[in-house]
Amino acid sequence: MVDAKKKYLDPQTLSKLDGLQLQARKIVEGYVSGPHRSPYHGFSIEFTQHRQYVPGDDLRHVDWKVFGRTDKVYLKQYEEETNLVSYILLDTSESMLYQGAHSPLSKLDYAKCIAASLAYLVLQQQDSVGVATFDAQIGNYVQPSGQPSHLKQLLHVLEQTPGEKKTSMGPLFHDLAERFKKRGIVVILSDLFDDPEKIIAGIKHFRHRQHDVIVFHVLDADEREFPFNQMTRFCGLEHWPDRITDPRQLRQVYLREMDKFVDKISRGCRGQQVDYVPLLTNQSLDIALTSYLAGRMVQKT
Amino acid sequence: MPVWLNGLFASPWMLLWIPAAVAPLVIHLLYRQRYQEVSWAAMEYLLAAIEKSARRMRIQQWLLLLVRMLLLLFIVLAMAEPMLRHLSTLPLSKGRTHHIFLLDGSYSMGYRADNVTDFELAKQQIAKQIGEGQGGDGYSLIKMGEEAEVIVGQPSYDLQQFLAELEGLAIGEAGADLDAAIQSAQQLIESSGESGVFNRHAVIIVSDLGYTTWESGLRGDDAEIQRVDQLAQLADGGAIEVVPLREANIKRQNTAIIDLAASEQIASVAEPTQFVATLHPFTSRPQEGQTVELWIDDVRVDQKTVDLPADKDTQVAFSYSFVDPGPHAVSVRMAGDQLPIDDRRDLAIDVKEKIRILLVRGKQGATLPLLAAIKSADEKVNATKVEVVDDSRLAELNLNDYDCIFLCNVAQWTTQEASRLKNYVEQGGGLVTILGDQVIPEQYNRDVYDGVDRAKNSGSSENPTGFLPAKIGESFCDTKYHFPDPKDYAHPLLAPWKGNPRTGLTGVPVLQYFKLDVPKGSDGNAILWLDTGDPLLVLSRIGSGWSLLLSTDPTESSRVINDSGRSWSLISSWLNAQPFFDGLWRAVVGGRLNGSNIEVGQWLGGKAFGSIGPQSASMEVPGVVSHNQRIAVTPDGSWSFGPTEKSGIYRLRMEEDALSSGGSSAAAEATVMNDQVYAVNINPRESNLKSFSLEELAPEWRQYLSEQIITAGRTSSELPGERLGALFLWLVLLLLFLETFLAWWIGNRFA
Repeated sequence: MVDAKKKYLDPQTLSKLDGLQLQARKIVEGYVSGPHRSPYHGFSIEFTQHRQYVPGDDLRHVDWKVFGRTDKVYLKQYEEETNLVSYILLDTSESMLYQGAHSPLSKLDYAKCIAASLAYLVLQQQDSVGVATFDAQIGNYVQPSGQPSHLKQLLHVLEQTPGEKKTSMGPLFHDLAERFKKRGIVVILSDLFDDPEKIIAGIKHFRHRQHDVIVFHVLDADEREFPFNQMTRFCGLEHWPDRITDPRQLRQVYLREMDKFVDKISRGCRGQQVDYVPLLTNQSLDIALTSYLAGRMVQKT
Repeated sequence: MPVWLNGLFASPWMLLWIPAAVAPLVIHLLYRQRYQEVSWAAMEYLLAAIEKSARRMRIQQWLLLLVRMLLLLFIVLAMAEPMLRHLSTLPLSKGRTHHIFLLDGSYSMGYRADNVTDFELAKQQIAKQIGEGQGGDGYSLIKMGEEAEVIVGQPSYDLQQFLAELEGLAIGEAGADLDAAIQSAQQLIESSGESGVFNRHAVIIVSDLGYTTWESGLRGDDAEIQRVDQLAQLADGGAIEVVPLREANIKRQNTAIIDLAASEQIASVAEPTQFVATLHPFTSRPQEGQTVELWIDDVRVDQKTVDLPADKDTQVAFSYSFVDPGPHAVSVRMAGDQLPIDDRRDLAIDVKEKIRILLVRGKQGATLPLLAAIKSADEKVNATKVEVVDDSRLAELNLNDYDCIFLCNVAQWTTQEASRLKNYVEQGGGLVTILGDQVIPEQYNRDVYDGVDRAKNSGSSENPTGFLPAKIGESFCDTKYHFPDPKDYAHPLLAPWKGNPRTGLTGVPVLQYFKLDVPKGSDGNAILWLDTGDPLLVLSRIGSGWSLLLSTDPTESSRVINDSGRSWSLISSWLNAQPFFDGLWRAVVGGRLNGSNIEVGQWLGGKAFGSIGPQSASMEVPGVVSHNQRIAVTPDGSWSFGPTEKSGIYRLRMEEDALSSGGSSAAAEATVMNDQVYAVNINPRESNLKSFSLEELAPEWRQYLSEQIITAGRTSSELPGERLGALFLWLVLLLLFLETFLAWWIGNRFA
């Protein structure tokens, strides 16, 4: 049963499901059924009541004072809070539409799955989550809310994103940083094919506004491995010109250029204490969820 | 395909594959047209990579393309087999040269030393010079023989073909006419100069510099002036080279049989035939113990050993009695030396069972003394058979059955008779015409001196076309006796009387005779005169035969008119009339034998007896095994063959079924008569191997020569033959490795 739920973390399997809501539920259920700590317990700080210990409970939450007085083992239970706000920023530019020949999902679909899963997970924990899609400018923006019914609206926005225009993240991040009034977690889902300096400047603006930032750098495996081995006409997305070339002779230089780009982004993120999570569209989605929860844990503490 | 490429490549047609060298470029361009399409997001980084790699990629691509194209090009060039030496001189080219080789084809070039003849050495020398030529040069070849033979006239660029022609060239068996060869070379230069293809020419004479070929250069006559002009023309715009084949100080020794003759003009089975061979050692040392053999019809019948003094003629006599009449091949041979061609000499001889003599009687008693004399002379050996007929029966007889015909005091001849007699003489028969009181001079002059042909040609030639050796003038008789004047006894007919004045030749009285007119420049020669200065005997060669004219009647059948009936002469009463008359027929027979013995370069010919259909004769040529050459025979039976190229015995075969002369016995007889043997011998002049050095050549030669001394002993192992093909194959191999490495390096280094 556990394995059956976990299989939905695999993008290959996930691509066979229709509807983001179903995909998000399967991802989160698959994720939480594992040996991980339950997300339904333990991250609130306001105590509410005790309950009796049952085997399997985490000993860290045992109320040792009660045990000292009564010799009975009780666990402390906390009041759930809804004051944690997550902002999910989804890049819907044309470059996100790329899907490699061996990739089950396009970068955009992969990013949508992550965004939907995170939204589902956040709302399950009674936190607030908002979504903004962008390309050269902000497409749709849904204000954060903790209502369970909010998920439906979020998923609708995610499904409506077309992905046609060129990215321009730098100025856009500044704009969003000004819009996000309440401190929270900013989750960026993008291939980041823009000027790294401007991207880092935008992230810096988020950090300046006390937001925690998690950057999910979504790339296709082809973009990292450049596996082409015959004469190819590369048709540039986002209005880049076409080029006919022999990719075998370019591979080494291209990979070097790509590494340089990724390295520049990751360095910039680290410099701003931003979690940088490189993702390939053929990788399991639990990497993204784990990274998010780790980030949330940091903010709670 | 330009023909000059033949001089650069052994297989120039392979160059047609050169366009295949651009195949890699075409494939590359086609490959660029076939690609997959990919929508690409990370274009910014791909463009950056392209920008950084473009120059390197372009260099790599062109380098690889160049290597692949060179690979194909070198393969094609290797298969075309370029000539190394020709290509190597291209950058230093002085322009295209027309090389004209004059190859001495005289038989002295057959001298063999160190297991190679001069002729082979000359061919090797020419091949070597061709190998040292440069690309685009043209080559012509003239063989110097009795006549200049142009082997390769138009300048050849195909060296393989030229060398094949050179290789297949056979040495001649005659001398060499240097002037004719130079003239031919000049004509070739003029014809090639009209095309404007060549910048210069080079005439290369490859010769043993033998005296007989080059001695004319020593003459200070018109020929020398003419040669100077020719050499000046040749040297204008070109060069003349003489390539001597051996060092001048090498004395070539040779012994030759320079003559073979029968002692008699005609042979019969009745008596032994004497043969005399003349040997001459062209050496400075006497030769002892030289073996000389007599061969009859390829069977050795006699052998003698003689000592030969240095550089002098030595005669060796053989005697042989033939058993069978008919044509026979006589050969004298001696042990071979370094020039074997002149160690043998042949003689064709027609041996008679009886020598048949016909006496044609124009007046009663005109043949009696002759008949008596001939029979008396032949009493012991019984070698002759004499027939006497009246002149009216001449038309009935087959004249070719007779070896000699006496026409005794015949008044006149019909046109048909005159024609038959003329044909008889021309085919080698012997004719003695005796004038007398019956003779009508006008008729003789018209019908048998001028002849029918001359009458038609209105006398434009000095030589008559009839069979008489002299024109008959008026009858002379001053009632005094006149006596023969043999002068210097030059003719063999008079030899028995030479030195024997008591034999009475100069005392035989002649009372009346016809004055004979022997035009200057004609073939007629007076051999005996009268004390009046008028000719008594005139001998002439008519065709292959001989015709003898006696101006008086030696018999007593002709009488002087109004002079007591005295006879024209008292020759028949002369004590030595018998040897005189006997000598008359001996002087004219043997013409058929002479026509059967010729020298190389001359024509064989004759007229078949009986009626022969066209193309019914064949000639067996010496040295050509089981191959008879067909001979065209004209309807009147005439045939000719030649010019003869080889020495030895030739045998004429008439095919029996082609003879259409009635019954089978007559046909068989005609076949036997027509099967003939001919002996063709070399001219012994070339047997003298003395040669010039370049310094000894005439001044005009030294003036125009660009001297080139080639020492003997260079063999074909030094001849050209290296080709660039192997080098190109090595380059192909190298490029294969380079291409593989480049492809691997580019693929691994940057992929």
